[in-house]
Formats: sequence, C-alpha cells, structure tokens
Amino acid sequence: MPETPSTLPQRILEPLTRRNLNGDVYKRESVVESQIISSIGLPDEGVIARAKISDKEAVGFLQEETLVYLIRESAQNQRQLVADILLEILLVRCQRQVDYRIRSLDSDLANEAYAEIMRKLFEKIFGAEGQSDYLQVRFWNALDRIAIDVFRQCNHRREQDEANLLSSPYTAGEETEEVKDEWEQILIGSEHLIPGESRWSSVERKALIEDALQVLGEPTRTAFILHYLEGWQIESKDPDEMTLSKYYQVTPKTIGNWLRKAKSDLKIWRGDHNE
Amino acid sequence: MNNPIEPYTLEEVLDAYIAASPTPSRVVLQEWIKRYPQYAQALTEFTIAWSQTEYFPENKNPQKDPNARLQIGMNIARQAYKQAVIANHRTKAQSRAPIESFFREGKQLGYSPDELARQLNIPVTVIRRIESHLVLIDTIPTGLIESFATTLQRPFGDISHFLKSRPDIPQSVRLKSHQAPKVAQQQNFFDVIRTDPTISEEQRTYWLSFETKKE
Repeated sequence: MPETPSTLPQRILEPLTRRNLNGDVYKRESVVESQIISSIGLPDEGVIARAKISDKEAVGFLQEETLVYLIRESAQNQRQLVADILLEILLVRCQRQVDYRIRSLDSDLANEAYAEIMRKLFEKIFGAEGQSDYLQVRFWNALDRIAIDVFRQCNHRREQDEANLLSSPYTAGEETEEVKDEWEQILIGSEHLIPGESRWSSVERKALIEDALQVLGEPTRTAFILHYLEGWQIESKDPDEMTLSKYYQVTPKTIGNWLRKAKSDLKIWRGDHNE
Repeated sequence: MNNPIEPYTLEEVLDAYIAASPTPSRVVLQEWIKRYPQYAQALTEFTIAWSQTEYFPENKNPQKDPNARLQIGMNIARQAYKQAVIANHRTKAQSRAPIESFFREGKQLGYSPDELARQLNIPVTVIRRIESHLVLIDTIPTGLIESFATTLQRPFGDISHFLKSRPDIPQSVRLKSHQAPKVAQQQNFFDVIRTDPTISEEQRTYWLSFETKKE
C-alpha cells in the first residue's frame, strides 16, 4: 500500500554542526525548521510557488534561512530548475541590503564589491558541512558581516589609491593647541549636524549628514564620523580603550588638526547651503 | 563569558559581534576587544567599516541598470551551484565506502554518540551492541534500521549489509589457545532491550511494542 504523507517517517534535516561562541551547536529557529520540513516533500512547482510568496505575513512564506537550506538540498539532489529559481529569489531579496552597504563606492568598485560579496555568500551556501550553518540561523547578520567586510577591503583599496595620488597636508604638521576648544561649540551651534537634533527627522538628519560628508576627504571624514557621530575619543586614559589616536597611530594633535580641517570644510559647506 | 583563548575564528567572532548590536557601537567594541584581544585590530577595523557604510554618502553616479548586478549575481550563483554538484558527486562516491562504525558515520555528520542515540531513540550501549554484531539482525525492527539509514544519510541496503557482515577478529590478535576463538554470542534485540541497564522506561516500552509486530 502506498504511504500517505502522514505515515511517511519524518525526514531528518541535515544537522547543523558549527558551534556558537558559547560552545552550543547552532540551532535553526523552529519556524525555519517547520518551513523546511513542510517544503522538502513538495514537488518542484510547490517549492517554487512558496518561495515566490513575498509577503512575510502570508501563509507559506519562506524565510531566507529556509531558502538557503532548500538551495543546498536542490544542489545535492540536482534539482537545477528549483535551484535556479530559488537562487534568483534569494538574490532579489538580498539586493537592497547589499546595495545599501556599498552605496558610497564608485560604480566600478561597487560592482567589484557586489561580485565579491556574492562569491563569498555562495561559497558559504554551497560550501562543505557547516559552512552554511550561520546563514541558516541568522541570514541577515551573516550577509551583513560579509558585505561590511568586503566594503572594508574595497574602501581600503580606494584610500590607498587616493593616498598615492594625493599627499595629505594634515597628517602631522601644523599642530595647534586650540584644536578642541571651538569644535563642540560649533557643532552644537550647527543646525545641520547635531546628533539627536529634534527639528530634523532621523531620515532628514541622515540625508543631511551624508550630504555634508560629501565635502570631506579621508581620513578626515572617517575621523569625523567616529568622533562626532559614534562617540570615539581622540585619546583616553584607559589603556584598553580604542581611540582615534591609537587607531590611526598619530598624535592626538594630528587628529585635532584633521577635525579642525573638517570643521573648516563644513563651515564653507554650511555657508553654501544657507545661501 | 567566553574564554578568549578558545580557538574561535575571526569570522565566527565577527558573525556573533554583528549580531550583538543593531548598529556600530564604541561601547560594544570595547567589550568585545576585552573578550577577544587577539582580534582587537580586526574588530576595530570592522567597526569602522560598519560606521562608514552607515554614514558615507551615496556615490553620485550609481549603477544605471538595476538588473545588471542581479545578472552578475546569478552568474556567480550558477557557477557555485555547478561546483557544488560536482563536489557532491565526489562526496557521494567517497561515502559509498562500507560502513565501519555507526558512531564514526554519525560523527561525520556532526553527531556525538549521545546525539546519535537521541536521534535513534535507543541508548548508546544498545547501538554499540548492534554495531558490534552482538544482536541478531533478524530481530532488529525494520523501523530502527530505517532510522539508522535516515539519520546517517545512508541507503537502507548499506545499513543492512553492515549488520549482516560477520564480526571481524583483528589480525593483530595473537591466539594462544588451542581452541578457535569464540565471538560473544548474539542476542535477540528484545532481550537486549529488556536487560539494558541504561535504557529509559519509555524507550523500553516503545521498543518492546515492536516485539509482537515482529513475530
């Protein structure tokens, strides 16, 4: 007598083998496990139909973690048609997040970065046992980690290229004592760049900051972001604290000069904007 | 708190680090540098890159064709898929090697002996007796052999072939007796279940329920 779905033994999922930093083997969310179990018995058309559901609240929606599992499974069982469609669906879902992370790179470099992110992502998805575990547990964190890491490498290359073309006049010379005094006053007085300023919505504030940062070069721009937007100290009495001076391996005065340069450029930018 | 000398890879640490905070944070960075001082520089560089991706302005000449990147991604994905299929063929060819031990097979799939026992719903001691050929194969419930096959991702035939094979006496053993060596006597599966001291009552009841079905 043929087996009905209810009498079929429950198929055991490919176990995760990697361990998290607490030493526990990674565990898929129960909703992901349910989605996988309910999908792996379906014919190709059934899996594809479910994967095409884009409304997260809809019955049958498949999370990205589930798609990763099903893509691996389709490769193991050589279901190329299913794999092709699932891969495209996953790529479309990733596009916005990846584009966001690399949006500041010029288009050629951004294309290179995009390709590298995809290579790393699919190496993991199709990798040996354990390679895809984290993608099946926290897909968006795993993708973000890859994208930021690739951005870091590309941006480093861009900075090196720029450094080869230009020599920065603000690396060591012109150190002054009054670097720090006016900076905070000017920022506080600025209607454009006060973190948490209530007259701007967070979206407006972010757009305004991005606009302003266009006028700054490196390393001034990153030092500005870290100091004024992320709260990094120029120097610290705590020897364990990572500071701007320690990270860039320059004196606190040099950092002060970079920030002074940023202040000066932003003053001009504000003037242009207020006209 | 994790032990910082444990051999976690940078990738594993960064994966957990990015999950620890929704946005880059100096305070979280400090905590993680203390926890993983061996990765202080990498964590710092990663955090800076993270901040840069949040705040750097958008390039003024973005990609004109939104589908171009999707196409690049699909080409890379298809290539990775093809390589995975080839690698999978190789793995399957290798995995046709005969089974030598259930525990070794389980270990390759990431199961510890206890986890394997949990998956199969029988104690480690019983698995050990089965794989040592100390249980009469005809008395083992078919459902259990199927469970071995599913859990160990092996065809049913591979499992039954292993169970039917005769227990080996290692060639290195030096026999001093004039009599031929005796292999421990095989037992009925249900007798093993009845007498195993480590089995839970639920498991005992469950497996003994197959005894009448088997007969």
